[in-house]
Amino acid sequence: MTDVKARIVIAVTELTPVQELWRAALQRLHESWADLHALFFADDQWHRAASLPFTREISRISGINEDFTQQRASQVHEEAINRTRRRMQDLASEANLAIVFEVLPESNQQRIRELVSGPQNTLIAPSFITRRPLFAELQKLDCRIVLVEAKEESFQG
Amino acid sequence: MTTNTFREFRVSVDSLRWPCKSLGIDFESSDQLPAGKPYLGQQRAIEAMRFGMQIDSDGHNVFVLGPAGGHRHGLAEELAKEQAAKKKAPNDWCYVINFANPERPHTLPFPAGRGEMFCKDMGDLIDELRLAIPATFEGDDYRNALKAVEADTQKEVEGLWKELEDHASKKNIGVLHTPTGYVLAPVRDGKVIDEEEFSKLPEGERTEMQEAIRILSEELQNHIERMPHLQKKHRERVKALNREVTEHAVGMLLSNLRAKYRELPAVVTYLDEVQENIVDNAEDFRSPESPSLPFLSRDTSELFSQYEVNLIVGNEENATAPVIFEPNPNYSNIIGKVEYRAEMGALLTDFRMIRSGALLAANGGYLILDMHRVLSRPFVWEALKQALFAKQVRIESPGETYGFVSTTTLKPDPIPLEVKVILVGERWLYYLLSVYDSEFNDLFKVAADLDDDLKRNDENVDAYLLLIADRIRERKLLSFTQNAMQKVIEQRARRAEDSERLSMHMRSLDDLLTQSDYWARQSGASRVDALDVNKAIDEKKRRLGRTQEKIREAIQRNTLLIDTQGACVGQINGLSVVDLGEFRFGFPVRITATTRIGTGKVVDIEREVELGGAIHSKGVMILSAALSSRYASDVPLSLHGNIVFEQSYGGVEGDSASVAELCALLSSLSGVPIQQNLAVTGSVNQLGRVQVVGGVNEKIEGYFDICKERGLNGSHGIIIPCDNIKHLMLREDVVKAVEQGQFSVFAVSDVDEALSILTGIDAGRRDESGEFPKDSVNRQVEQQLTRYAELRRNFAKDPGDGKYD
Repeated sequence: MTDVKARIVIAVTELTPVQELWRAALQRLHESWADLHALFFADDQWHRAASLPFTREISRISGINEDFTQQRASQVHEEAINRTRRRMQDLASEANLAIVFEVLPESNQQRIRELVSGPQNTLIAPSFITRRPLFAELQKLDCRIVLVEAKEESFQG
Repeated sequence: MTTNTFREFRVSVDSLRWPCKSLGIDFESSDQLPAGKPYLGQQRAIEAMRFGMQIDSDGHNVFVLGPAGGHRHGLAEELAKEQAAKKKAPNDWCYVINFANPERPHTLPFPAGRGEMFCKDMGDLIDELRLAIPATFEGDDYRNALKAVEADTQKEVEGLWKELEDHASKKNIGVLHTPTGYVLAPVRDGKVIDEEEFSKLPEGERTEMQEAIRILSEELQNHIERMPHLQKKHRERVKALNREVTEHAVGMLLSNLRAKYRELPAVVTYLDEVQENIVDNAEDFRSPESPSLPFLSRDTSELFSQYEVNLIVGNEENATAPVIFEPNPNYSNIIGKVEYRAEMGALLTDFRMIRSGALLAANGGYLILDMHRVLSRPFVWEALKQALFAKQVRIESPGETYGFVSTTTLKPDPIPLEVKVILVGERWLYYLLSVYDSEFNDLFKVAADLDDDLKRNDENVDAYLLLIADRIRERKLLSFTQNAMQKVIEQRARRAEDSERLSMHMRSLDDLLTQSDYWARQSGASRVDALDVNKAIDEKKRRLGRTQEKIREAIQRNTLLIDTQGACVGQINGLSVVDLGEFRFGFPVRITATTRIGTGKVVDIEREVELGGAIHSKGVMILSAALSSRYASDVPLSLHGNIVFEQSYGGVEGDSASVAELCALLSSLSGVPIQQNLAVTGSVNQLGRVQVVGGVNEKIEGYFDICKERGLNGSHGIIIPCDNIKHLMLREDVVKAVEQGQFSVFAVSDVDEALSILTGIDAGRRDESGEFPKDSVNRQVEQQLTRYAELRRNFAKDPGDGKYD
C-alpha cells in the first residue's frame, strides 16, 4: 500500500490579499500535515488591455497619461507575480515551512486537476473566485474547497 | 690708619644699625598681641580704592599700583568685599532658545536666586511634558478622535472612487491598478476584453466605450488631482487635532508657571512662546516609530531639551554683590565662550552650551584681575575695554570678534554689564598704559598707589607688631617671642633699605615668618625666637648665595684682583651690587684711572665698549665737569683720562662709583697713592658733592666679608655718602667689628673728604687767594692740569710729529 501525500493548494491571483489565505492554510496544517502549494492563476488582463489601441495608463502621482503597451503590460504582469511570490515565500519562511509557487493560466485545466484533484487535498481560495468561470471547473474536482472572505485589491481606490 | 684717624668722618656705631629695642607694647609672645589695624600704612591707597569702588560713574574703575608681593590682591579683595557687603546680589541671567532664530539665543533676567528656580521649574516642566504629551497621543480620546478624522477622510476618498467605479461599471469599464497608476479598460463578464473581442462589438458600442474611457480618464485625472488636496486637508485636520490635544495638555502645566512668574513679563512672554512652539510642533512629541535605519532614529529627548534654561549667572537670594578674582584671565575666562560638541564629524552647539566668564560672574559687583596676566593673554585687554565701554558682555569667540571665522555660530543677546574692575599691577605698567593706551585713562580713572614702606616711628612699630602677630595667627604659626618680633622689625627696615622705614612688602614678611617658624619647629622649640629669625635670614642667604660665594672665592684666590692693603696711584676699590631678585649682595671691584695730556676728555672704557649703562655713562661725564669746575679754571682742561672697571665683563649700571672714579683720576693726576685697605661708594655731582647711592648695606657687608677673610687689622674701612647713614641697617657682626675698632665706616659729604681719607693727605681747600695749600692733593692736581695746559699750548705752537694726538 502506498501513502498518498496530502496537499494544500492556495489559489491566488494578483488581486488576492494573501495574508487571509495563508492564515486559513496554517489552520489546515494544524489539523493534518500536508505539502504546501501556491497556485497563481495568471489572468492575462494586462495584455488584453494593452492589445486595445486606445488604452492608456494614468500616473497616480502626476495624472499624466501615456500609452499602455504590451511591453508595459508584461512588466506590470511580472511585477504582480513576483510581488505575490515574494509575499508567499516570506510568510512560509516566517513559519519555517516550504512552499512551491507555480504560475498557471486559468485555461490549463490539466495541470490544475493534477495539483488539486483528490479527497486528501484542500484548495484554499478567495471568495471572489466564485465569480469567475474557473470556479465551476474547480467544483468538479473531488477536493476540499475552503473559501476565504476577501476583497479583490486592485479595484479599490 | 688708627681709630682716631679722620675721626670726624667715622660713622658712630649707633648709626650703623637701628636695633629695635624699646617697644610701646608690653608682651612676651605674639599670641598676647591684640588684632592689628587693617591696611597699615596704606591709607592713601585705601582711600583711593574706596573712592573708586563707591563712585557711581563711568570709567571709575581702579588700578592698584604696587610691587608684586605687596599684598595688592589681598587688599583689593578685602576692600571689595567690604563694599560688596553693602550691596544686594545682582540679577541672575539665563539664556533661552530664540524660537524665531535659534542662532541668536535670548536672555532672561531674574531677581537673585530666581534664575536657578526657573531652571528647576523648566526642568520639571520638561519631565512632565515628556510623559504628558506622548500619553495624550496614546490615550483613547485622542485615538478615537484621530480615527474619526481618518474615517471621514477615508469616506470622502472612497466616495470619490466609488462614484468613479460605479460610473465606470455602468459603462462596462474596469479600473485596473498598476504599480504606478491606473488603466481603464473595457470589461465584459468581469474580465477585460482584448482587441479581438472588442472588434467583434458593434461599432456603436465600441465608439461608446472609447468615449466612456476618454471621459472616465478625465474624471480619473480630476480624482488624482484632488487626492493631494484631500491628503493636505486630512493632514491639517490631524494637525488641528494634535494642536488641540497638545494645547490642552501643555496649557495646564504652563499656566501654573505663568502665574508663578507673573511679575516678570519677559518670562511670561517666553512661556507663551514655549507653549506656542510645543503646540506648533505637537506631532514631533509623539512616541517615534522605529526607523528603517538606526542612524535615522529621532531622539525626542532633544526636542524637549530645547526648552531647558541655561543659567549663566546665578546668585543666592539673600547674598551680597559678588567679588571675583580670576587667576587665569584668558579670553574665555573673562568674556565667556560658546562650547561645541562633536556629532558625526560635525561641531554643533546651541544656547545651552554658552558659558559665562568672570565679567558676568562679577556683574553688579567687583572683578579683580592681575594686569600683567591680562596683558599676556591674547585679546583679553581689548575685549575687556570693549565690554567696559559698551557696558555689555557679548559672548562670542575671539575669532568671531575679530572677523577671522566665517562659519555660522551663535550670536547670543548681549548682557548689560555694571561691574567695577580692579586691576592690580606694577607701577611701570600703569604709567606705560597711561601714556601709550589712549583708552586706558577713560576706563581706569582711579589709581590706588600702594606705599612700599612705612615710617619707622614708635606708633608705626607698635602697629607693625600687631600686623605681624595677625599674620602669624592667620598662618597658624608658632607664636614669636618679643626678641623674635624685634628681629623681624629690624629685618623689615633692612628690607626697606632704610633704618628709618619699614618695608610693606608682605610676601617677604610672610616668607620670613613661615621660614622662622620652620626652623623653630626643626629645633623642637614651642616658640619662635630671635635665633630662628636669624637662622631663616642666614639660610635664605645661603640658599641663594652660590654666586656670591664664587665671586668671594675668586677674590680670595686672586682671580679677581682686589688689594686690601698697601697704596697705589690711580687704583681704588669701588663697590658693586648684584641683584638676584630675592637676594642682593655687594663685592669690591677694582677701578683704575690713567691720565695724560689731551683735550679735556675722560674716557669711560665701559661706555666705549657698550658695557656701561646710561646712568653710569652720565656719572663719568660729570667727572669732566667736576674737574673743570674744581681745578685750573683759567686754563683749558688739557687732560685725557681713561677709567676702567678692571675684570668687569658684564654690564655696569648706576653712578655709585663716580666718587671712586673721580678719586682714582685725581690720584693719577696728583701721583698721590690711594690706600687699598679702603673702599668707596657714592655718586658725585659736578661741584664735587657726594650723593646717596643704593645698596649701601650690601656694599659695606660685601667688602667687610672680603677683609674679614683676609684678616681685619683695624685699617680696613669703607667710605659712604653721609646722606646714606640713615639707610644703614648693617649686620650685627659688622657693627661688632666697628665697635671693636677692626673695621671703619666713613661718611663724607664731598669728594675732598673722601680724597683725604683715601690718600691720608689733606685734599686741601682753596685759601683766600684762591690757592690750594702746598703739598695738598688738590694743589698737585691743579699743578698737573696747569702743566698739561702749558704743554698743550706749547705743542699748539710746535705740533712736532703729532705724538700728542
